[in-house]
Amino acid sequence: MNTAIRLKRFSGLVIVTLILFGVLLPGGLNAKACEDGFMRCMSDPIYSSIHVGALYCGLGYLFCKKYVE
Amino acid sequence: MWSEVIPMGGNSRGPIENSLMRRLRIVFMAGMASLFLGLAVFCVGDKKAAEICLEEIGSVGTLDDDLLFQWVGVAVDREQKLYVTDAMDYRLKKIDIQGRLLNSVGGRGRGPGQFLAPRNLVWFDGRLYVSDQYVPGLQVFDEELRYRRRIMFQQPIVDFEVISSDRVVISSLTPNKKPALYFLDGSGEPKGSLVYNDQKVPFMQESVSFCMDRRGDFYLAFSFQNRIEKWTGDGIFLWRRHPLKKVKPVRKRIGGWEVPTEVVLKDIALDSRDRIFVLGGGYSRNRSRDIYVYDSEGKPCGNLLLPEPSHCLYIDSKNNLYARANEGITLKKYRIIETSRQIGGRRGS
Repeated sequence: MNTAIRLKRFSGLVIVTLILFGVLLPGGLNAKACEDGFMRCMSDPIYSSIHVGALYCGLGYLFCKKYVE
Repeated sequence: MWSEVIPMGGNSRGPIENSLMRRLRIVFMAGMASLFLGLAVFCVGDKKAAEICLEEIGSVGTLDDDLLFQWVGVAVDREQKLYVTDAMDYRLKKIDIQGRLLNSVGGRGRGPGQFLAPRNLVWFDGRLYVSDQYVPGLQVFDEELRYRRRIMFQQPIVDFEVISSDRVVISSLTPNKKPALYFLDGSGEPKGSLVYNDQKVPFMQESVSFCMDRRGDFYLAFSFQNRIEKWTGDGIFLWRRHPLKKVKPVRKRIGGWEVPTEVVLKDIALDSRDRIFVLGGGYSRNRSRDIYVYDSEGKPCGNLLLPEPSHCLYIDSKNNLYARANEGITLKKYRIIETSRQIGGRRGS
């Protein structure tokens, strides 16, 4: 009986861990990658100094969101 | 009642063993049931989806070869040759149906025939039109991948279509302007626009992917809104649909700019019957895998489910649908099937 309860608890723990690592973590990392890239692009003097440069940062962000996520 | 079946030779096991066996059977049955459901959903995700489904009929690029590294745009010519832009090695590639590389041009640079970040690709009447994220305008190549000319356009290009050898339509990011599709001639001179919103909107809010039917009507899929629209080429609004239920797109401030955080609709494509295929993004039940299908009047025709997430959709003249797999290393080809025909033993393309 004790073994069965332990097994049940262990499998519950495994499921929760899998959900955390398999679903939440990759999504979070990917989302951050696009936002970090956009931030870096906008703080680059070449892009941020001109209006069209900011638009190219925006296009990169859009592409990243479409491709990576 | 399968749980009451006694194995041949009588019930020689004790009550604990029997209980374990029963549990194992339940686990096995549950596993089989979920596997069956998982396979079935590929075609019949809901009642509507019973009308059409996808059958994989081809695949190019594997983890073991160096054909594709991170493909972005795809187009198919009349002879079913594939053309692909590859962002990782800055090249435009021509591939046959067996997955053999026929030709490849490019390299990193801003010069004629070079790329910094090759993106969208359109085949039109023997010419290939290619956009680049960091280089303004479109480059034009012939089918042998020889560079021909450049169509100038100073704004970044989100998406484009080719109407004729002397006319292209472009969607761009245009803050502080009314969102529009821009018509250009072969040298990049503006020849009009289709304004699809009369108001100035926040940065990237009205960014669209779009496609055009044979009548010259446009179908717009809004990247950061739950919205598809149909417009005539003259700028007359025809209809609007909302493929997802209950979506409230979120925006947040990054580096002084307020930007949307999730793509709602990633891409849009038409088949030869003018059915509209819209690829859902981060708000869809299956992220980057759900495809919402409508007819040309905006009536829902069902949903499709891609086996793997994709950033784009492409449908060739024979109604084959192309999408991404292996995070851009593989390009998959699917036949769009009418399931009612399949039941009768005939499979249409």
